[in-house]
Amino acid sequence: MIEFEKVSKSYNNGQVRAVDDLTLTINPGEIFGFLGPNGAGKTTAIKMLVGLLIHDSGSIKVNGIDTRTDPLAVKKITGYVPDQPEVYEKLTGLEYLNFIADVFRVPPVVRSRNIPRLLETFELTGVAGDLIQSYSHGMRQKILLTAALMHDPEVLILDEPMVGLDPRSAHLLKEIMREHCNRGKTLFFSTHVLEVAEKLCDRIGIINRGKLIACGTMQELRRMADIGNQSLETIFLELTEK
Amino acid sequence: MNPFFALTKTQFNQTFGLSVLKQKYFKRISQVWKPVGFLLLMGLALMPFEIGLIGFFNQFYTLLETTNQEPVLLTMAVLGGQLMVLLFGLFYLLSTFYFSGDLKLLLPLPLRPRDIIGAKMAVVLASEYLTLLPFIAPIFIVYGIRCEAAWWYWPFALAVFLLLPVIPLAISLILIIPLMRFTALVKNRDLFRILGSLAGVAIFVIFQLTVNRSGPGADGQQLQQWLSSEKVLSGIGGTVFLPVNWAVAALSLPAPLGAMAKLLAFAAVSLVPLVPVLPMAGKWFFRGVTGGYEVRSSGRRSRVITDAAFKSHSPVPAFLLRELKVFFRTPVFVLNGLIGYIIIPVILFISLQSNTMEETLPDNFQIRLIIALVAAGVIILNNSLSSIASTAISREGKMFWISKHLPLSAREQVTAKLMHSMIFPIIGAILIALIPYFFFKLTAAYFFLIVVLGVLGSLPAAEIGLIIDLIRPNLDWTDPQRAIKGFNGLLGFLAGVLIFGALALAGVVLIHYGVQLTLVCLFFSVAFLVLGLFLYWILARLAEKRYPLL
Repeated sequence: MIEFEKVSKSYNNGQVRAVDDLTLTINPGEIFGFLGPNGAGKTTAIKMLVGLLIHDSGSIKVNGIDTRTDPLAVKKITGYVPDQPEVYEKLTGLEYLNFIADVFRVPPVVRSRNIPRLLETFELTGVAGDLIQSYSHGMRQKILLTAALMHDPEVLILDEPMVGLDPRSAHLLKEIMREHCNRGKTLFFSTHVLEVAEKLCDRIGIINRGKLIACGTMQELRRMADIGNQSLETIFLELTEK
Repeated sequence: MNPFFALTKTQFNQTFGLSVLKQKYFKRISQVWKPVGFLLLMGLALMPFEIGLIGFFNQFYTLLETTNQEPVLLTMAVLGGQLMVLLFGLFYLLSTFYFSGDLKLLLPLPLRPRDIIGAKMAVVLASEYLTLLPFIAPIFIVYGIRCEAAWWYWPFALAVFLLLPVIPLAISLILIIPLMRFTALVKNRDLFRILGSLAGVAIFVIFQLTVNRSGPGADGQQLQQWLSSEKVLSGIGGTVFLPVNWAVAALSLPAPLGAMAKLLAFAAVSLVPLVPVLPMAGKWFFRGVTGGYEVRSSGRRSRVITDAAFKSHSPVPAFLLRELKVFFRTPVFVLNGLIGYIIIPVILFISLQSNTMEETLPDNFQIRLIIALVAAGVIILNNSLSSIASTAISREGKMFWISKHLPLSAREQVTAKLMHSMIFPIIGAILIALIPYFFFKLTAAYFFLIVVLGVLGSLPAAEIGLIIDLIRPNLDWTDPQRAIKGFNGLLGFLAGVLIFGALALAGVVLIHYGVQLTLVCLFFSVAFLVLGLFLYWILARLAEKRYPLL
């Protein structure tokens, strides 16, 4: 479960409000899609959620644990993949995964079961022993996804996870996301691919200029936009142009 | 704007962070004090060092005056400066041409290779001026004032200073570009690049040996005799590097016309080689760069991962292991981080090799203790100069998000980084301690004393570096050499000089008041230990505070 309670974050001594009074709850077993135009505040909100940025006010809780008072406990139960697959180029894929497993204290039995399975799923087994510097953008994205899923986190947070993935990998990821939530775990992800959000998400939040302007199921969003049985793209354009 | 000038302007902007400075400090007038204050602080911190240098060169001038060999001071400046540029420029150029992240952006642009090489050379040249200035300016100033130089001495001195790094940089470029071309052909490129750079160190050592053989021993009388000999100038400079004599003559000849002729000769010999070198380098450049970007994978696609691949470690050792792997597999980090640990023992070895002090060293434990203290001082100074600790955070760059997201406290992370920063000082301490151990025939007890004192003193030095990097890390680099080449190393060194200088002064005072040397050694051990613990306490607290803000 993720809870944002009146969260704000500004830059340049308060001149730019990146996230403005965000209140949002994502329930266990739910896939939540976070949408918004470029620079709307999606990545800032996600970075605050995973502890990469400190919020100015409000509170963020993951499974009831405050990210500010006990950040390490939150990190232990979350898996995160950033929007840019920046990863140590001078390590091999396997070395990176082992490092993450060590720091997340994944027992050897679990890692020897999970790592080969995930590498196989993402078709990385053959290159796991190569330096990451030889990986393509999509392969880096997949090694980060493997690292995030390896310790079977309670909450999975993905920032633009489909970018750089080939259609097969994107399809596999969607299946993994659904399966993750079917086990009662939480998934929060941002995307610009509206079709994916429309088909995959239980609920969708739309953020614009730092403010959450709409949140709910597809049906609820249609009612809010007051445009009948239209696609998410039309709803998105309608709501963000207001 | 001409593409070359546009590129050069952008390179300067990128290297020295001019736009960042403008954006951060000069757009809001209330923030201007920060860079101004920083510059003032740097100036103040450098002042004792500069005053010390001026004092030293002033005394050296007086010594030279007795034998009418004052221009030797200028030879020292020009030859020393050029050697410095040859050595550091070689590494700098290597980093610039091999490891510049921006080359990927520049290659698709309609730029001629010579434009790219020229623009990058211009930035390296500017950096070399900044490196040389604190060492060369005091010499030129002392010489100019003491010999009551004519007015034209000053513009000539400026011209010599500006021309000084050109020849060694051109030599470095000649060495670097073919190396770059052939790098693309070998399998383990990173290893080849490191070995290529070590070849640069070998050149430096040969140079040093040549100069050392033509110089005097450490004996005072020998020095006097050598200085009064006719061939002193050509001995240390001319035979090795003829243009040095022209540069020195341009500043020391009494007649302006004669001096001008020498200056023009120095300028010609500095600039003319660039005419063929730049286009020649351009011919090799593209193939070398593009070859360098080809990354080889194993090509094996059906590998089965065995359970042995999942060896587990505790979090802190795992973090330390990651630090070591990334460090050793990034050539620019290895080159810059370890250069001092190679060069300083080599220089010490060469300096002592030409002396015969051990034969005259009385069998006195007091003198041996002083040797041990001095050797420990060299170890600590060497570690203060190392950039390993002062770039420990910066080296993570854009990957810092991984460390921030790990369920590992900031205290544990900086502890692992401190452990990483202490591995090389321990090895360096042993290497340096071996030199006096063999040359002065010390016992094992003195050897251990040097190592223990050196390592204990290196701990606070590393902690100072880490603290500085925590306060002002550079995480926005696209080019790994930007991570390791910042002011943090210099700031760490200056802070180290202040703290260890104060401790050394306390030691001198104790000796002056007749305190036994064994007690002075004990004083240093306790002082280093207490300082190390205190700084660790600060470091751990600061890390917890700073990590979330970075």
